[in-house]
Amino acid sequence: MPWKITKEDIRFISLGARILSCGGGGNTRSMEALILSVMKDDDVIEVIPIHEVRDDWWVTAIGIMGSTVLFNEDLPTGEEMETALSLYEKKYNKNVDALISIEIGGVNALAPLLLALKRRLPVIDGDGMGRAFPELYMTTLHLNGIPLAPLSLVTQDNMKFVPSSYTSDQAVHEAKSFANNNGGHSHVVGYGASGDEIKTSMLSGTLYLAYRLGKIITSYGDGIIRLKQIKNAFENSIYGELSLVIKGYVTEVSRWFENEVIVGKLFIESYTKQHNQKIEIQFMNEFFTIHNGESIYRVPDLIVFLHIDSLEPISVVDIQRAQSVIVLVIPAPNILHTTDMLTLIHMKESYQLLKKEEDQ
Amino acid sequence: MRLGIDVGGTNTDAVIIDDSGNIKAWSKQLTTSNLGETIYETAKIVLNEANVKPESMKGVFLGTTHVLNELYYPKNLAKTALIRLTKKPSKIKPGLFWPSHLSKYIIKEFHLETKYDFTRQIPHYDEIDHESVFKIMKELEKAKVESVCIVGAFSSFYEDEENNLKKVIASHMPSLSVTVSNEIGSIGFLDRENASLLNSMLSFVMKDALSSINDIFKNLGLHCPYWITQNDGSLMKVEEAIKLPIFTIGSGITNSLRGASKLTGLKNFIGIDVGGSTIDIGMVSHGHPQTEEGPVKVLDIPVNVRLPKVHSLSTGGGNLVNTHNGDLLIEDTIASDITKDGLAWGGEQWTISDSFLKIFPHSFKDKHIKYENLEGISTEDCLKVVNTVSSRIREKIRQLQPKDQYVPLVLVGGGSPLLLNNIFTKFDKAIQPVGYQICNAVGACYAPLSSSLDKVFWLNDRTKEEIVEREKERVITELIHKGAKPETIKINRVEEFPFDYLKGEMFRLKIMAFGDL
Repeated sequence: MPWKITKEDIRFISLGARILSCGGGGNTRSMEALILSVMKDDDVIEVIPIHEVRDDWWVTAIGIMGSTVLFNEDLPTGEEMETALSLYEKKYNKNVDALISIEIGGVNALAPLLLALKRRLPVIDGDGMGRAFPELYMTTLHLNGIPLAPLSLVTQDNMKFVPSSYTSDQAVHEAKSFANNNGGHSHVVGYGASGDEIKTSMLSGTLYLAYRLGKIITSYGDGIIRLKQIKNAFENSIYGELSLVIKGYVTEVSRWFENEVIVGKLFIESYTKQHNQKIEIQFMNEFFTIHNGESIYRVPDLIVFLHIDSLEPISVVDIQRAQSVIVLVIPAPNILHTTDMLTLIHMKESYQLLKKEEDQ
Repeated sequence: MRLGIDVGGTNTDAVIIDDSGNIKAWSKQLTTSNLGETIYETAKIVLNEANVKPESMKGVFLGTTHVLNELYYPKNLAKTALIRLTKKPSKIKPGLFWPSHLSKYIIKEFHLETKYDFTRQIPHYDEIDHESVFKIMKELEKAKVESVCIVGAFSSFYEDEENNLKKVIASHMPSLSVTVSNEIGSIGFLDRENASLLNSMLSFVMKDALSSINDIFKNLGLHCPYWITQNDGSLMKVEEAIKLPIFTIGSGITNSLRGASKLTGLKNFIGIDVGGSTIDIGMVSHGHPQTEEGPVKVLDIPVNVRLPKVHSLSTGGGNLVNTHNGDLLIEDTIASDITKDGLAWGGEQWTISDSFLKIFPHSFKDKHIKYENLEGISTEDCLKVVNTVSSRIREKIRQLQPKDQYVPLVLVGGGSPLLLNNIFTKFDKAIQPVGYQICNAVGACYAPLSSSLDKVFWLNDRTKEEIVEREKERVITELIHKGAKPETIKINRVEEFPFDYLKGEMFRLKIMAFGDL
């Protein structure tokens, strides 16, 4: 279904994207504020569903990489994305016909929208991760052989173009060192491909799902009904069947540094005695494993924390002791469970804990 | 001997408590538009009644919901200008998620280029750009701006730039009040900006209410130190409260919960404070009211200041009830004085209290109540009101109540007799302590001193442990300086938050310590 995003819809997408972020993906506040500041009341952004993406289009993926904590402190001017796209088009000598989000989980769901609005380009209903992952290469686009480079990188006061002669590994390295040397974050335009290639590599329908989820959460209505609606929304998507793991309160949270990455652990005690008494959850950039007696849930399945009352998603940064939460697990789309994709996400040092766990 | 005063939206209470914790006397007066006068009158009555010498008073403890009420119903907000200190101007508009009755007070917005380079540990700081600042000041004058809010990117670890700009503006325009964001909140630009803007707008509110406080207490013969209670339930100096009014917006319920703990002797319970315009429900564990510091909202505005963890129902005993086309409505409006305007007291306004009194007569031991006045309203409607309000309260309690260890409910506040034995019975382990109607003032008397820190540090060749130890020392020294007994000082928590992507060269540190006077 072709669909037009209005100014009113932005907050729904923002909220829904934070659900799909599994606690990572960054606070969407600055990006949401930026779009709402720029968007006029009658502006719309055109969304193109998978079957209407034209094979001969040139599509690029859009995102922000690096620390979103720093991104939310270092206010964007609002022009960085346009600069990045212009740099890409000029250096690569190719016009872009449509945009797609690198990562639907968190701030990057919104990243292409501002650019789409300003350049009057359509946004494709889908993304490259189906959730949030910590690294630029952990995408189904990469998995399907779409090269990251050419890549354009832009911050408030610096820019860089990585030409197509760079392998994806080299491009990732360039992008990381650029972000590290320029305030810890950068706007990114890359993963350029034809519409044909994008269609077969992307996770489809995730933008609309984010919108639906946000809309459900903000609707009035009691918690149980809204939870049911959330379940329905996932049932009509590429994800698996949602299950409620626990309703309870956080009894303990600890965070520490391991391999230069923040790692943490928390415990939740159930409200009702019948349920599992106590579960343990580990997190890094996102929530990544649940130990629940016999059963274990883990990345790439979606582990989602919601505020017990408002059902607003809670991030790994904000989770704290004594919070009352609902924890959901949603099986990831099949493609994220393929051996190649699992290898891709386990390669990263930051998921070593996860690997250790599996070795045992 | 301690004197506690609570200035609420409807009533002002005062209480005198002796050194062994007994209530010597208390008084309750209607809060008038002249807060100084109200405080004076209420304190005078209680001092007379207790018949104690003002010299025997060790301290006066003042709590107020005045500032929060001002945000709901603005009367005295300052026209505020925002100055952003960032590398480049941002298209993000200030006041975006705000209700319009507050955002209209942001009347000007300026940008100054920061001299810092955030990517390096050691900033290259240059002189302030005086020319641009003078231009801004001209415009401030022209627009008749009353308050200025300075928000610099990364001010939680480069505070000098905000502070220096403040100095320049304050020296040229001494009548302006200036808020700097590094005193308000930590990392997270927009949330900090929101909190700082609110603080700026509130500049007159505390100043007007408290500027005469010195004289008032002198006139009462009180020469002891006096304090204001803040959001986390701890004490701040009057000068601090005038400068940082945003830190007092949540103090009302914190005082009430602490008071409930003192009056019942309980350390773990759910407190329900039934006031004129709200019912606040909060949790006390190990004797401390719980606070929340994640992303919190004040009137839907995201802010990054610490607030008590409270569920607030926007209906209290004074809310008006009406029927409209056959539908029953609980309105947002509140009777200004229920003992005059409420139906049961011979007034013209049908309130939530009247509805409860119709169903549960004699809840209040008040001779002035005439039950025949309630004959005109239907029992069925009143029952609906009672059911609506009580199911809202029950729902909140259900969420707070830990299942494995049922904690008692403590009912306080002037309206709480409406609930006791009617909605909540001994089966709910519901308790209403003696002194329930002056619980806030009691709580204020027992507020501790606190000192806290929430800053971001570059390691700069030091170890993390060195920095944590040094800052701990600093917090403790500050607490002793404020007047805390060293043996009572407890570091409540030390939390470190590493940053991603910066290889651990930078971290955020939160320290919180409490101590008794």
